[in-house]
Amino acid sequence: MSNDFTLTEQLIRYIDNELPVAEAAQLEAQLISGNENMQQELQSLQLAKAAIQSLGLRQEVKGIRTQMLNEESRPPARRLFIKRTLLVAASLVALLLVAGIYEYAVVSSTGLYTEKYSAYELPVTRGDENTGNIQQAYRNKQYDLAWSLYNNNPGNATAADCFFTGQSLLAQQQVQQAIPVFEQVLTINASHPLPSYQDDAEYYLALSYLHQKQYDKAIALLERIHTQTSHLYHQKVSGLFLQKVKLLRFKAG
Amino acid sequence: MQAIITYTDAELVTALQRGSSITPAVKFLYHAYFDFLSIYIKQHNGTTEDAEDIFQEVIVAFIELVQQQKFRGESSVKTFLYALNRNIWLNELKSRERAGKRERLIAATTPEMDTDVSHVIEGLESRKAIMTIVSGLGEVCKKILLAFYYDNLPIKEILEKLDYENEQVVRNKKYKCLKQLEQMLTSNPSVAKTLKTALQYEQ
Repeated sequence: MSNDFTLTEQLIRYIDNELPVAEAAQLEAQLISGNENMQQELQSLQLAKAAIQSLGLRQEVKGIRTQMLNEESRPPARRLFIKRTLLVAASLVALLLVAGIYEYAVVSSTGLYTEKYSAYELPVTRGDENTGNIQQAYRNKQYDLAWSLYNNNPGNATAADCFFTGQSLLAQQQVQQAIPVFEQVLTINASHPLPSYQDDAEYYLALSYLHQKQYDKAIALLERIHTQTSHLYHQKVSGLFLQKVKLLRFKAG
Repeated sequence: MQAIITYTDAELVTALQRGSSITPAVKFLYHAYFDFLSIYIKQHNGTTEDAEDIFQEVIVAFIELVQQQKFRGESSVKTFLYALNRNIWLNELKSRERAGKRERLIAATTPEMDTDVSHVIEGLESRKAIMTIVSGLGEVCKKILLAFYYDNLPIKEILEKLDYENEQVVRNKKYKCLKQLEQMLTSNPSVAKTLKTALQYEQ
């Protein structure tokens, strides 16, 4: 046996399987021969080795359990994704709800009318001889004259006469009086081979109905304008605008 | 959370042998048996924390038996763990002197234990004492000894983890640490005596 190592170191090398075969055999022979001190020390060293291995096992099991508990407390990516998606969706719904409640509270017929109404603008002409007197009066912003001219002979008014009379009334915010005039445009056009100002009259009549809280009539015309892509005022009647008018109808009960 | 691998009893024993990673098997043991065994603890004066501590004890004891090839598989793993869990807990209650009438009755009427289970129970107190002693070892010694005897790292790799001059210095330090631990253990007579008995069982 090598003298470079103490007995303890020899025994440790033995239990670590680091002894050369010949030295290990020599050591074993001494153990078998009944060297009690050597036997006891070997057992003690083996117990120390077992104790360290047991400590290592405990630490590893504890570490695994800690990792498991951490993973369980952390929501998995998928659940987190679903949770976050639901949160965003719920937030959007809440936002829409708040927006809807706000809209419900503030929407009004006059508000919507003001939002959508703009005075009808005549194209620039160069002394068109076919321009009627009422149309001319409207162009010159002589709204009272236009109304007076219409009233002289309403039964013989053309669709154009009625339309510009209605526009003159709207310009003076006399919306209620404008309604039957615009209705007259539609009546005249219904039996005329060449309707004129039909789309325009429908739009402004719808706005007038809206202003006067005649929601059913307004909605009927607005839906028609909204669904007819060829209607001159199709772009002005969005789905959202239509929903707002329906909301007003709902509020009115 | 990663999916838990499931095992049959035979596969579990194989997975727990030395040399392979025990992590999936330990996770399986917790997943499959912890809730079931913790109910017993809680129904018998135990807390959730007690259930965790006892289950860890059960797992460690079971793995050591498997690695020493002492688990003979005569009963199922479930039955074996249940027996370990019950007896370790009753033993714990006795040591806390908290065993109520019901628990004393259970302990008194417990059917004869599996030999391996009884050896584990017999060695419980000394195992606790051993762990207390080992935990008192210096951090550097623990690090070296765990790296060599538990992680099975060669001296060269241990050297890379520590700030020593060369492999021989690490080897010398390892000798000293193991000797120191041996002396700490053998200086406790009850531990030494019980460990001797345990070693005879293992042989």
